This record gives sequence, C-alpha cells and structure tokens, in this order.
Amino acid sequence: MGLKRIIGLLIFLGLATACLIYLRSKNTIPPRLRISTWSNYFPDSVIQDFTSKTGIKVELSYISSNEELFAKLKAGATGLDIVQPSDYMVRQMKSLSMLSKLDPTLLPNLIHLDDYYRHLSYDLKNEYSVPFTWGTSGIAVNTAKVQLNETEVSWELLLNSSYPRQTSLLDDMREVFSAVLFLNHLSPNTRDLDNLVKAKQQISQIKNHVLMFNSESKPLLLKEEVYIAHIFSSDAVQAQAENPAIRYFIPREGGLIWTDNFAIPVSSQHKLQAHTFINYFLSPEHALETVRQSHLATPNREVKDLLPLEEKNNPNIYPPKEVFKKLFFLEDIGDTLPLMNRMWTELKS
Amino acid sequence: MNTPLKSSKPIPLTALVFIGWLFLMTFIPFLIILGMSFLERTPLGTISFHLSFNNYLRSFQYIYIKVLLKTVWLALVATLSCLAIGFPVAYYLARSRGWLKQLGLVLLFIPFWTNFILRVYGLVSLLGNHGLINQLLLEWGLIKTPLEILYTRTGVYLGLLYNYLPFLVVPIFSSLEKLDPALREAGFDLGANRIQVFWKVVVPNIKEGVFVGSLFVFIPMLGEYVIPDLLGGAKEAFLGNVMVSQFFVMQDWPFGSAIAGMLSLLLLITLWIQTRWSRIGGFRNGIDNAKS
Repeated sequence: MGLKRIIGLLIFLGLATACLIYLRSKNTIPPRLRISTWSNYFPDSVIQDFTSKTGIKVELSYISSNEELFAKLKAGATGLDIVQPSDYMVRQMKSLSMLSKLDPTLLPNLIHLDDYYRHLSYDLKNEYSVPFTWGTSGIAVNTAKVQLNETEVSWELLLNSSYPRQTSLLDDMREVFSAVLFLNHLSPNTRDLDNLVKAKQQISQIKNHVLMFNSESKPLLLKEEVYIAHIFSSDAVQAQAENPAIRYFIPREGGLIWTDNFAIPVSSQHKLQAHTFINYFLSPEHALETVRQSHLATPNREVKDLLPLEEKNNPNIYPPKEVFKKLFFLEDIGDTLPLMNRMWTELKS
Repeated sequence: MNTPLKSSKPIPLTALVFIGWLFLMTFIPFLIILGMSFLERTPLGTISFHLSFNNYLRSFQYIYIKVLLKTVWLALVATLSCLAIGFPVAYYLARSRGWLKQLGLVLLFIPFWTNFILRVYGLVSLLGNHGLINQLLLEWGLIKTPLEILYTRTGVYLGLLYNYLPFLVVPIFSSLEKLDPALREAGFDLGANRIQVFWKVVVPNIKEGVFVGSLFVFIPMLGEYVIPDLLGGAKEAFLGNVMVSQFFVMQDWPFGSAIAGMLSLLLLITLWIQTRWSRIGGFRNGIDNAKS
C-alpha cells in the first residue's frame, strides 16, 4: 500500500528538520531577552531606551494570570528569560525549582528597595525574586451613584450591596473568599473548614444577587454598568483618573496586598542579560516611568521619592500606616486549597 | 453503502500531507490528553506519573454530573432555538432566486469576517444596560428600566444563537437545494396541500441535513466556555468552563484531561447515534426503492 510513501515522507520530514536545526545553529542570531509580562506594564519608550543603552534586544510576551504563566512554563515553554509572577506564584515556582537563584552581585541596585520588601515571607532574602510593584485589593465605588459614609467603608458594602445588579466581584477564588473572611473578622489564610464552609454559603447567596464575576471591571465602572466593584488598586486608580467620582477604599476590616516580581526561570539561556534587565529597572530613574504610567505602587524607596506629589501622597496607591497594618499577603494554605477549589466549582455550577 | 474502503490505488501525496498534519496536530495531542487523564496531580500542581483512575471516578461526582447535564440541556435548548430560527431562513434562501439569494448568503457569512471574540464583545456593547438596544427602547418609551439581558442566562442563549446559527443554516440550505422541485410539484399534482407536501415530501428528504446541521451546532456548544464567561458574567459554568479552570486556575491538569476525555466520549456517542441513524435511514430508503 502507501507504506513506502509514508516512510518516504517521514524521511523527508526528518531531513527537513535536520536542515532547519543545522541552519539555525549556524545562524548567529543576536541574543534576545524574552520577557513574559503583564499587559500595559512596560511602555514601549522604556524598552527602546533599555535596548539603546545596553544593546540587548527585548521581546515581550503577555500573560493575563499567574496560572497562565505557570502553565506556559510547565508545558515546556523554554526561552523565557524573565517572568513576573506575583507573590504566591513565586512561592509555588520556587518550591518546584522552576526559578533560578539570583546573583546579588549582579544586582547592586537592590539597595534602593525599601527594607520591608526585602524580607517578604514568600522569598525571605530575595534569593529568587525581586519585587517590582505592589498593590492592594479593595472596593471601587462610583460615589455619584452610591451614597456612603467614606470613613466607615466595610466589606458589607460589596457583599451586601444595596445595588446588587450594579455590583461585580473579582473572578478569583482566593480574592472572593478573602473578602468574605475579612467580613467575618477571620484571616484570609484560615484553614478552618467550618469557617470556609460558612464563607462558601455566604458567597452562594451573594452570587445570585450580584451582576457578575469579573477581573477587569475598570471599563464597566467607566461605562457605569457597575457602581461597586471588587477591584485591584491599580485598576481603581486608573478608573478614577478618568472619572473622579470613582473612589477606591480598603475596607475597615482589612484587605489583601500583593506584589509583582522579577524572576529568572531555570531554563533561561541569557541569565547574565536578564540580571542586567532587572538591575536596570531597579535603578530609580529607569523604574520611574513604568511606575508612573501604571499607577502601581513601587517598593523602591528612591523611585517613590522621585514621584510627583499627587501620586506619592495618593492613599489609594500608598495606604497610610494605620491602613497598611491591616493588609495581608495570601499565604500557602496547603491541603485546604483543593477543598476550596471544590467549593468554588460547586459555587459556579 | 458497501463501497469498499480499501482501494488499490495508493493514497496521493497531497492527502498524505493532510493526514500527517491531522495525526501530528490533532491525534497526538489528543493522546497526550488522554494519557494525562490517567495520571495524578501532586500537591504543588504538577503531574506525577502514577497510574490512577481517580480522575474518572471523580468526574462522576454529583457536582460534575450536574454541570454535565446542565451543559447538555443548555446546548439542547440553544440548538432547538437555532433550528426554530434557522430552518425558515434556510427554507427561504433555498427557494429565493437571483440576487436575493446571493445577498442572503453573503449576509449570513459577513459576521465571520470578524473574529469570534470580537463578535462576543460586540454583543456585550449591544446588550448592556447602556447598550444600544436598551438605550433605544428607553428612548422610545417602550420600557422604564433597562432590560436585564447581559450577564444573565438569556444573554448566554443569545450569544450561542447568534454565533452558531450559520452552521445550522448551511447544511439545511444545501439539502434543500438538492431537493428536486419536481418532487414538490408531483406532490401538488397528486392533490396534497402545502402542509402535506411540506411534511410528506420536503421533510423526509432533508431530515438528514437538519440532523447534521443540528449536530454542527450542538457539538461545539457542549465545549463552549467563552460565551458563558463573557455574556453570562461567569456566574455559572458550562462543562467547558470547569475543564478550562482545572487547567488554568486549579492547576489540576490530570482532572481537566479526564473531563476533556468525558466530553470527547459524549461527542463520539452523539456522532455514533448520527451515523447509526443515517444508516437506518439509508436502509429504509433501500426498502422503499425496492418496493416501488
């Protein structure tokens, strides 16, 4: 039958692949630093600047969630030189030996980081990650539509909303559970099953009233489809810049704090250049532009000093001390996570 | 029916390339997924190479069966709605002539010039409280408060209907095209009225086209996950959403693969019913032919 042809085709394909591999190894393509980042993070001008100053070409690719980044790396995406996992994802990748150890001698600009961000629980000594930006999760409210007492904002406002059809929750399991746990005056990292089951029941009641689960509620706030949104601080500040009636609050019961970090995957072929990139963006003058455009908070003392006053003193970006004390990182909850996953699937089914 | 599949001619090279492509890009990835569904998740979210049937046992738990049944039900309702709207469209198109027919077909396919995701976002801006439809209805005083369509189940149905309708219309249209007009005329000549001609002449001849068209929309609807998220507000899940979240949120690839395996099985069963059904149909036609 066609067996000879099949064998012929296979041989042909094999030869073609061999040729390609040979040509590629011969062809000396200048090294390109491949960076996986969040969208709207690095303005083009900043990257062009980096290339003209260091001669290192950069190629950006984008992720929309930490889990997507994890999936990409795990599925064998090699060639990424820098990734930007958030705090809990650094912990997970670290424990799976997916990140390569950083060389502090190549990162002299680490000294500019605020002390607090050099000893975070997920990476105590910045061995595998360097925090680049941080932010919080709270509630954005369109104050032109919703009457509220601004000094006494509670998670109640979101979870027991008087405008349920104009309310959205983050489409994120840990975030939504944390909101309810805060309301119940519990730690967002609780492993107590009874408390979690109770939280799940509360969520299932809320779910039937609110408009939707959505992690990109900025456009909805601006279109006034949503008046009250569970939101990340950076999105809220960006929304406020376009509509001053939109205000951001960290509820009095407390809120979540998160960081986005630089890290180098073990598979990177250009670790030296990757360190150069990280160090470059730890230097105050180079980080400044990025931070200003995204309205994210910087862990870099010097950068913060260089920021314009209205940015530096914006309590929505840099919460005052008494609020900061009530911010928590999401910690690893171990065996409780699969149980929570199951509850979340039940909630959504 | 019994055309021998084994042909003495060798498979042409052009077909081999296509078969090779399908093998490499469809069959092998499917095998990988199938293989992964028999492995286990480690506490850290990676895959451990340890043979286990737990994933399949787990997928028979109440919540997943509930999602499965709900998905089948929603897809069925949406398919029947597609049929109710799509059949008259196909019928009309097949019977019209000249530029009207051309225009109808072009209009049917114009939406495909735009990416699927963009079309769904287009619906979002049409259906919202501040969307075009609600604003017009409010303006004309037909309603006092905006209709709640977006982020409800109605929104999901509308999205499914809009996106899948052409896939149903085309097979029905082409089987209607093939229907010899003389058959219909003969029906009338023999004294049948319009309704009788429709049910006794038209429908028996195109039922396979209707069935194939319905499958064309029913099967992809079973795996749908974008529309429930974007138009339903992510408040309830299709099986597709549960599957995708196992990969990208829960980091349980083996279980996600098991759900994918179940879904594939469901699709195979549907296809099997279809081939069986058409074979029976073919058999009956044979008897009818022999009688006449």
